[in-house]
Amino acid sequence: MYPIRESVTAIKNKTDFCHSKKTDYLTALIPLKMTAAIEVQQLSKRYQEKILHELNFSVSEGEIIGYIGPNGAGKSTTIKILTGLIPDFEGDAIVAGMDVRQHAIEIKRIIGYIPENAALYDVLTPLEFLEFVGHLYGLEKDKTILKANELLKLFGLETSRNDRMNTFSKGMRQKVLLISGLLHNPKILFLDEPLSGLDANAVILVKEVLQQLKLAGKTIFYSSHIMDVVEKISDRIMIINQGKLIANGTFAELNEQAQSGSLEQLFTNLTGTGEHKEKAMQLIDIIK
Amino acid sequence: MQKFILLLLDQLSFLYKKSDIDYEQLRSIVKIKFEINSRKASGMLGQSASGKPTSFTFALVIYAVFGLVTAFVLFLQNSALISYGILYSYILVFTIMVLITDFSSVLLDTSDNTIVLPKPVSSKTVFAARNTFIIVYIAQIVLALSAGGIIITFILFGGLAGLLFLTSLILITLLATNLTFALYLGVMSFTSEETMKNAINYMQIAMTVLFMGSYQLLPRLIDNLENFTQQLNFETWMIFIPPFWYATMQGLLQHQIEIAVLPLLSVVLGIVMPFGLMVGIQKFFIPFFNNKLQDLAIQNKEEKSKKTQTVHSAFSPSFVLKKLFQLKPLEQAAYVLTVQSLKADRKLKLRIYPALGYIVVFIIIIFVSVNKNNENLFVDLHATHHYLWLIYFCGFLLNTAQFETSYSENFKARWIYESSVIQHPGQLISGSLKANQMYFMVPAYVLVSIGVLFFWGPSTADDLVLGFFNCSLITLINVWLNQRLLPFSLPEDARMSGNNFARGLLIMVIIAALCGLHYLAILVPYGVSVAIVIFFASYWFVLNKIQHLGWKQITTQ
Repeated sequence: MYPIRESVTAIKNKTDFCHSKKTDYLTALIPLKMTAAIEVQQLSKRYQEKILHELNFSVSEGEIIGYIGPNGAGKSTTIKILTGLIPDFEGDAIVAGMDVRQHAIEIKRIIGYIPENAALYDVLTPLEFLEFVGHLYGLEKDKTILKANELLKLFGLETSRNDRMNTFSKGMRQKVLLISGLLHNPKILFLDEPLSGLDANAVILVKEVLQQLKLAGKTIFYSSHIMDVVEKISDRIMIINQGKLIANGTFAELNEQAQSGSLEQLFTNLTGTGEHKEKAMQLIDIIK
Repeated sequence: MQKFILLLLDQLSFLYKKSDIDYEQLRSIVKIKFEINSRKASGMLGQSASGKPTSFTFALVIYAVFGLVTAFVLFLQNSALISYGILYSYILVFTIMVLITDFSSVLLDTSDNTIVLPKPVSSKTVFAARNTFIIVYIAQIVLALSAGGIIITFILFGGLAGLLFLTSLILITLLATNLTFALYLGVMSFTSEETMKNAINYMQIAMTVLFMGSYQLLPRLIDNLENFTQQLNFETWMIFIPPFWYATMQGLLQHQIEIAVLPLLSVVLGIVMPFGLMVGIQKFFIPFFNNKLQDLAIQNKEEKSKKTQTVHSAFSPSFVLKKLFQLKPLEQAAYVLTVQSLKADRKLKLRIYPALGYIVVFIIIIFVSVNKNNENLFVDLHATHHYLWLIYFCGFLLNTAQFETSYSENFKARWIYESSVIQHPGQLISGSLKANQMYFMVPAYVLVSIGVLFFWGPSTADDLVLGFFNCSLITLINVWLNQRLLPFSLPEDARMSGNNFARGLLIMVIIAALCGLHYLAILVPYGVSVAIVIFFASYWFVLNKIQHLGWKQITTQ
């Protein structure tokens, strides 16, 4: 088992000391009176066809949002817009009181983003990569290394910290990615399938970490396919299907409306993918 | 070396800061890119035989040797304009080639977008970091390429000419990088990532052909160079050829060119263009560039699925023609797999298609060697049997394709062969061989046949029939003796780890033997017709043998 409490403490407390002056200055730019951490109005995105259709939602500070939907529903696109990675969109997106279009860099300083695909410079070692990430956030080198080492140890990667990441399993890479998203102690976390490829112990650890980060007042925007985790950790659940927000509420509220019993059942009912049993029977007929 | 370059960069930090670029972040990105690159192989020189990456230092030594050989053109002292024009052309073309082959991936790297851009780094800083990294690397390559030229210039023409040469090199580096950037960005502004990558793929193929071809052709053309270097005056056309902008500077310095409007305009262009392009790119392209990359990374998925649909078309000529081969079910599976890969796999194209381009080089070599001593090219060509070279070159092409289609970065997918009930895996080999024949050799052979019939006349028709079977037979024999490899079943780096020399020697012996027998058949009355029957029978015999290969006879390396 991982020392969960220790890991949470490390992320919660030991991250504060290494903010640079630049970060403090920019943090000071954020309006003091802030009720919504994320605010989205009429958000749309089009490539060849429309991917997002006039999304409207808001996320309060310290809230954990479970953002779920089938493949291709528009989850990652929403997150990329909110993290300033896709600047070309319609509607309004406000993060930490700042307009994403105008203040992308300032927003990036105070958010953490764990992308769907474990994109890393994999010829580097985890320590080298984390040092690099720390540098991009303007963190002090020595303190970054110290913290990176502690976090690597907590995630069970201490023996691999000097190995190149191209030899790592998907789960190990995902752990490094998680650490890189937490290294600068972000106020708002955007997690796109953060549990992908993690082993059971690491999943438990991440769940605990998320709960403790919530207690520490962080806002978490969490996109995942793993329904039971979303159900357990989310304050509120938003379901997106074909670019449209089709449900938004606490699990209890949604459950009451849909009379579904579980998030999985609710999800299949709402996204119209509920004919699994029929499909399974059809498959057996075909392979016969 | 890295530390030295970073120190040098620190001295220029004020330039970056002036351009509103976060220098600390830029330095950090450049440093990490150096580290990443030092742990990867150099693209143009590929990998060493041991499979370990070729070191950049080693690559630089090779470049320096190439450069030194070319720099000997400076000893043709009667025209600085032409001798420097040749040297600068070489450096510029080589530099653009390295940029395209080695740095396309760096320039179009979307991993920066997922790793660096989510961090508080502006797209301007990211682009400047990429740009800096590329320019520093290219500068090292240019320096290695020009080392010989620098020494020779200082010795032959003095300090001032040497300094001018060094200044020209800086300008050429900037021009080459900015020209390539502008080309990429221009293409990207009206195309998709897939089209862009395909275009780069074909550019890489063309460059590889040019590179290999020039080493075949240059020594043959050198005889004519002496006449060429008699050119002393500045001509109007030179104003459109960038290397001559810099050669004009040398010409003016050495008082070989008279001061006039056009040479002076040429000098101005040489100075203004690199910086003008740089400013234009910074101003108009950069913000668009990173957004485009981001968009492309998302669009990519849709385009890939479209592409797959087109490959499946049942009415395509290759689909109809494959019916003619009377493929067995297993052969058909390997045939379709090979054709699809030949159409879609860029890495495979890059390994195979340059061989196709060598036909052009080969044709030029034949023409140059015939034309060297004689006046009437067509009459002389007709009297030779040089067409046999062209015919049997197609055998080499097919063999190359067959060899390369045994390797893939997705080689682990071979589990599908191993887990299926396959009694004669040899049919997978024959299926892929037929695909290579149909998709790769037949088009080349048709082109060669048209050329041969045109230049050597219809009497060569029977030679072409015999040649077709022999070219296929060459690969069949080589597969039977040496390369019993299932299609796409081995890792790409294993290509270099085997006994390449022995493999090359064997194929040369087979080609020489069959070509020799063909030549002997020409000398005997009705010899070619008899040989057609014999070699056609041999073709079917060996093909049948391959189709019946069992698992134990398959080479797994």
